[in-house]
Amino acid sequence: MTTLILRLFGQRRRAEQLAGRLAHAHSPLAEALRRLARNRLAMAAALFLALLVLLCLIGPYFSPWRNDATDALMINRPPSASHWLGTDFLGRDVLTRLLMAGRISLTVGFASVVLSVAVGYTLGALAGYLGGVVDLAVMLLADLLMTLPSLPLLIIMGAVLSELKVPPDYRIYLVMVILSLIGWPTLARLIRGQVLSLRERDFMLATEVLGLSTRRRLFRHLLPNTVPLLIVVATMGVANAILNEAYLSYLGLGVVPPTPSWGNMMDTANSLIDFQRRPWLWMPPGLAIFATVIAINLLGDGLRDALDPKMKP
Amino acid sequence: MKLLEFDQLSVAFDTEAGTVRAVQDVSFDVAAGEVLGVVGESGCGKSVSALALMGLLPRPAARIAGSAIRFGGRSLLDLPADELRQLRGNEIAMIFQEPMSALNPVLSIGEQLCEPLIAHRRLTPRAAWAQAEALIARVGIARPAEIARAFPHQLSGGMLQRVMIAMAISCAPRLLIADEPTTALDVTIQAQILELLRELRREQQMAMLLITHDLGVIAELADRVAVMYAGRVVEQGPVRELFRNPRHPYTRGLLASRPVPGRRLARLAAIPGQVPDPLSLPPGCAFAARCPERRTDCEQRRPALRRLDADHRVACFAAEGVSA
Repeated sequence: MTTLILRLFGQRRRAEQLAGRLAHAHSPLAEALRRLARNRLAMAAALFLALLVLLCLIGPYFSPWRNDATDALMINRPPSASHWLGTDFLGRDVLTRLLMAGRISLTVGFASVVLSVAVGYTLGALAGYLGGVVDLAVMLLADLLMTLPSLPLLIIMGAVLSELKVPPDYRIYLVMVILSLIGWPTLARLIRGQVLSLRERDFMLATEVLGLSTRRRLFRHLLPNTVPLLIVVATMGVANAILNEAYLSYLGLGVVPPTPSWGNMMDTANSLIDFQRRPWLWMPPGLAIFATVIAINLLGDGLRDALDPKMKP
Repeated sequence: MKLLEFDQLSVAFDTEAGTVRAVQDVSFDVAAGEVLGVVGESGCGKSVSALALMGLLPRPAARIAGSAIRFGGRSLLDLPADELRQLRGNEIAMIFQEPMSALNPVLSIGEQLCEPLIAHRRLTPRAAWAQAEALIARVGIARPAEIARAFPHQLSGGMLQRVMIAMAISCAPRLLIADEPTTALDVTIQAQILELLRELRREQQMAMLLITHDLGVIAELADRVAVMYAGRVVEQGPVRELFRNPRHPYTRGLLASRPVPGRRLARLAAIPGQVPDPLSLPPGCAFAARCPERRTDCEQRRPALRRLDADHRVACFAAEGVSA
C-alpha cells in the first residue's frame, strides 16, 4: 500500500519535471507541505494524531458506558471483555474516561496555544516592527513573565482557584488562560527576532521604495514570511501545553475531578496499591500523554525540516 | 526645466566612532529624459545620495544639512512623509543591485507586480493582474501568464532583474534610479538588461539616475557622468567629453584601470593607496594622498568644483592650472 502511494508520488513528480517546473508554480508553503508529505516519520505522527483526535471525538459515542457512570459492584476491575481497560475505584470505565480525558487534554493544549499564539504573535510582531517604546514595554513584560518560576506560580494560581471555589467545568478555561500566559513570551521573543531581521531585508526596502502603505507592508509583505516559524513553534507549543496541563492536573491544580483529564487520571499512581496492583488505572493516560507528545514533536520536527532546512539547530 | 536637482546636499551619520560625512556638498541635476551616471568606488556616497532622494535615510541617525533636493520643482526634503510615499514608486522608482533579495520569497511575481498598481493607480486586483502580465511581457519575458504565477526562487537572476524593472516602470515614473542594476548579473545578461533599460528610456522618455562603479555601463547608457570620490563630486560632464578628456586625476585613474579587451598589459593599472577613512577626512583634497599630480597645497586646501567649459566641471587645482 505504502509503496503504491510512493510510486504514485514518484511518477507524478517525474511527470511534473517533464512538463517543466513552471507548469506547476507552487508557493513556498505548498512546496514545504509536499516535502513534509515525503517525510514518513512525520506523516506517521500526523496519522497517529489524526486517529487519536478521531477516537477521542467519536469513541465515547460507541462506548456502552457513560463517562461518569459509577458502578459499586464493579470497582477496580482489571481489563476484561466488557471493560477493555478495566474500571476505577468508582467503577467507571477507564477507556471511556481516557477518551473523554483526551478531548479535554487536547482541547486545553490546542486552545492555550491558540491563545498564546494570538497574544505572543501580535505583541512580538508589533515589538519587532515598531521598535522604540513598544518594543521596550513588550520585552520588559515578556522578560518579567519569563523570570517568574512557572511551577510555584501555577501552584499558587491553582490554590487561589480552589479557594475561590471555581466550579470544575469552568476551571478548564482558566487553566487554558494560565497556560497561555506562561507560553506567550517565548513565542513573542522568537517572532520579534524574526521580524527584526526581516525588516532589514532588501525586499522590505523595495516595498518602501514602491511607496506602499505601512499597513500593507506589514501584513502583506512582512508577516507572511513569519508563518513557517509560527507553524513550527505553535506545533511544538501544543505538546508543551499538553505536558503542562498534565503536571497541573496531576498535582490537582489544573483540571479537577470529576472532569477527566490525562493528568488527573494519572493521579491514581500516587496511591501505592493502585501503582503496584492496578496499572490499568495510570498506564493508559501516561502512555497517551507520552505518545501524543512524541507524535506532536515528530510532526513539529518534520514541519521544521520541510519549511526551512536552515532552521535546524 | 530640470527634473531633478541636488543642491549642495550633505549627509552625515552620527556613529559611536564619530561623525561619518557620507555625502558633502553634492550638486548635480538631471533633465527630463536624461540619463545621469554616477560613478565611484564603494563607500563614496552614491547610494546614500539615492536614498536621500527617496527619503529613505534612517533618521535621526542621518543628518541632512543645509541643502535641497528638488524634483519637478518641489523640494523633497520638506515634503510630508505621506506625499513622499505617493511620489515613490509612482513618479520616482528604483531598482536594486540584488534582484534575488529585493523580491519577497513568499509572494508570486504577479502579486508583487500588482502592489504599486493597486497602491498608486488604484486598480482593482483583477485589472492589476492583467496589467502585471502585460508588464512582464513588456520587459521581454516569454510566457507572462506563467511567470506571473511563479515565485522568485523559480526564476533566474536576469529574469528577476527584468521583473524588478517591470515593477519599477509599472506606474510610468519620470525618474528611475538604478543602483548597480547589472552588478550581480552574468556578463551576457548584463548586456540584455542594459539594452532593455535603453529601450524603455527611449520609449517612455524616462530620466535615469544610473549609479554604478562600472564605467562600461556608463558608456553604454549615460548622457552625462558625475564622478564621486569620498562623498564629493570631483568631476562632472558629458559622457563623451569625460571619457575622451578626463581632467581629474581620479577619473583618469578609473579609466586607466579598466581592462581593455585586446590590449595585453603585464599589470592592470591601479590607483595606489586607499580611500581615506570617512571618519577623518583630510582638510584638503580627499584624493591628494593617492594623486600622481599632487601639488604642495593640495592637502591643505580643497579645490571647488569649477566649470572648465560648457558642461564640464572638475574639482582639481592641477586641472585648473592646465586650463587657465
